Amino acid sequence: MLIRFSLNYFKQMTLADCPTGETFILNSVEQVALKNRLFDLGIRQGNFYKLITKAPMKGPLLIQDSKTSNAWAIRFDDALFIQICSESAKR
Amino acid sequence: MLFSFKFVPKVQKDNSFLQFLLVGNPNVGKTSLFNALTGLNQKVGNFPGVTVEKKMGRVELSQNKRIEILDLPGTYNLFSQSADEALTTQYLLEHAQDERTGILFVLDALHLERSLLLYSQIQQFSLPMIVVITRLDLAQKQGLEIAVPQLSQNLGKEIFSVNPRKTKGISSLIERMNEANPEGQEKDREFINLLHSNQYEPDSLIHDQMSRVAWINQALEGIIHFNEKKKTDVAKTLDRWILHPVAGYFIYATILFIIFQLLFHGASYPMGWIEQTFLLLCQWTANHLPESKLTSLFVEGILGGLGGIVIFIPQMIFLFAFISFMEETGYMSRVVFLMDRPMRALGLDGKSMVPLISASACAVPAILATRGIEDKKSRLITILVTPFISCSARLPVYIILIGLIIPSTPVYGIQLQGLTLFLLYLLGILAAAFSSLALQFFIKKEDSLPFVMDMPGYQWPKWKNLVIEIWFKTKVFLWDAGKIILSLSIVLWVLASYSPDDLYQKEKQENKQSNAAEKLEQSYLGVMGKTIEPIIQPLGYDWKIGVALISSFAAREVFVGTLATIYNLDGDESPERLTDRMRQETRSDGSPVFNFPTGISLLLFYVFSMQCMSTFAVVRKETNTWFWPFFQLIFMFILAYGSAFLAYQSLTV
Repeated sequence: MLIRFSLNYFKQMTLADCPTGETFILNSVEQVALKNRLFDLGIRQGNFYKLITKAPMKGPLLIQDSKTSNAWAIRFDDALFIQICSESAKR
Repeated sequence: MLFSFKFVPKVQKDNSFLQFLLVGNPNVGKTSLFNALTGLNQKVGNFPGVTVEKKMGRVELSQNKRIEILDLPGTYNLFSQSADEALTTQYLLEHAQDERTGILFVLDALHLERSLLLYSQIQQFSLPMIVVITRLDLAQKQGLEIAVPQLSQNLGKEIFSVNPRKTKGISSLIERMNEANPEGQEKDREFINLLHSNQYEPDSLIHDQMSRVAWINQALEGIIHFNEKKKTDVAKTLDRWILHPVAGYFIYATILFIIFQLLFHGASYPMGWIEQTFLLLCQWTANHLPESKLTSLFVEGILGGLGGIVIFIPQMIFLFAFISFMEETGYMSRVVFLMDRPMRALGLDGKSMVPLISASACAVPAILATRGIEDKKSRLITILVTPFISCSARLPVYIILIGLIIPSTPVYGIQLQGLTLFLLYLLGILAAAFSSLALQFFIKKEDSLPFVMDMPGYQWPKWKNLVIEIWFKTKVFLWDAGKIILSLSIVLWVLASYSPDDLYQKEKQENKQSNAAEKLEQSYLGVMGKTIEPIIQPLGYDWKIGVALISSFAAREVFVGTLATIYNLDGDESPERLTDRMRQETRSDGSPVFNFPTGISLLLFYVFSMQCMSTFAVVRKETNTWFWPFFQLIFMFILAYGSAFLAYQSLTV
């Protein structure tokens, strides 16, 4: 029951699919070079982030650390390799 | 395991340092700290073997003791991916054995985790290190409270809290630097050898990172406290508009338009003052020095040539100020964000925006700035199209020509001259866009690297930093351009004053009333200009413009200096403005040389042509081949000649 609730509450998707304004947990990164780059810039798996805005025509996405307000821009094509857990399934 | 600390005391022979290397992540206030420590005791050069800007400064510690500080390019990781960051690793490796080199490490209060990642790597060099923490005030605004004494305890290292923007903590840091002694620790050879070998797989780095994360988590335990009540998020509010899918682009276009309007009219007053001063100086010198060839060389050759470039200092200052302002406030990163998608359609990168905007100051540092672009194909295309962006060296040429052919009267409150200048810049941007669109089909794509970029918070610029930045950029530009202009002015004066068969001298004796233009025509310079006249005639140029074109192949701004030298040779006692002189210049049929079609043709030629030896040299250096600089030179020349030809021929029909 709890597992079923959790699966409904948090939906797995890529960051590219995440709606604007959504808070999410960074789950995994499929590309090694991207994983290293995210790590260098302080973006860690398991942390909470918020998708602030998306540039038009599949442009970069602006994400923000939910706690510290530090922000980063990630290209849409790279966001396709970032798996996240978001709250969107709840809605 | 790659990551481990080994602390073994070592005996040192000398306890004074020659230099401190300033190391830290990008955009953590390193340059502000460097400026606060060194003030104007700075010099800008290049790192040996490469053309990346090297900033060195001096700190006077006591009467007989001073220390050099070297501002290294910011990096996140010593196993870096970009050329700029790799330079820091290389420099550290070179100084790993140097016992008289210390590290001044900058911790960023806003990003302690990633700062400590770099710190953990730097530690393994075991060079004597002083640690400072910056941006505590900004962290506080984000609701972050950092227990610096406890962090210091966890790291086993004294940490200095500094705010270089308000010069807080600087004096105690200087005192500490004065007292610093080599600590003597054994270096982590395994780690240093790995960096030296440059042979590491991305997969293996993940294991290294994991061990570092464990150490970082331990070091940060109980250090950061979050206070939601103290949090103020100005960036979020501003970004709602600045990054808006429609309003964001409109704001960007408006800012650029205002910049170019101000560039033309805001600078016109100080330019007028400089012009008057130079004219008075020329008159005074001519009146007070004995009449001789040497006086003529000094007044007409040297002062005339230099005057043509010094007058544009205000505009350069305005331009450098705008660029520095956009960088300091954090707006430049927003421009990168907005422009990434359109730039990618052209085969470029969002990060290409930084070099392309910087190119409006000078293409040379702009091409060096492409080192921040990780993707090799995007970087090469950016290098190749950057010279299309109108640089400050083109500005003097534009201003003179616009002043000649465009009326200064406003239409519906818009200055036509400012609008023309804006359109010329726009034309350069379009040329860069279409060229990159074409080039992306010819250049082979390599594995693309991820695009993840820090989005800094907004901050009000520190005026001292802006002034220092503008001062050094203007100084470097004037020094570099001045050397070429001065040498060429002298050469041009000689070429314009003597003729192949000494006809000029003969004529001078026989007919003192002979026309100055005729003398010039018979000189070496005239012969050169006349040789290329058949090639440039279809563009509407006479041999005098041809001479200016030849000389400006060294640097575009020489065009104005050359014209100033050429038109000053008639010995007129009352010097007039160069534009007036050019306006009076007529062809053999009595029609003005600088009419509308010729002016437009010249403007188009200078928008598209390369004409900069320094850019050519830097492109050779950065691409490591002769093919691309020659390709660029020929491609741009064909475009310049073709457009100038079409413009002149169609406007004269």
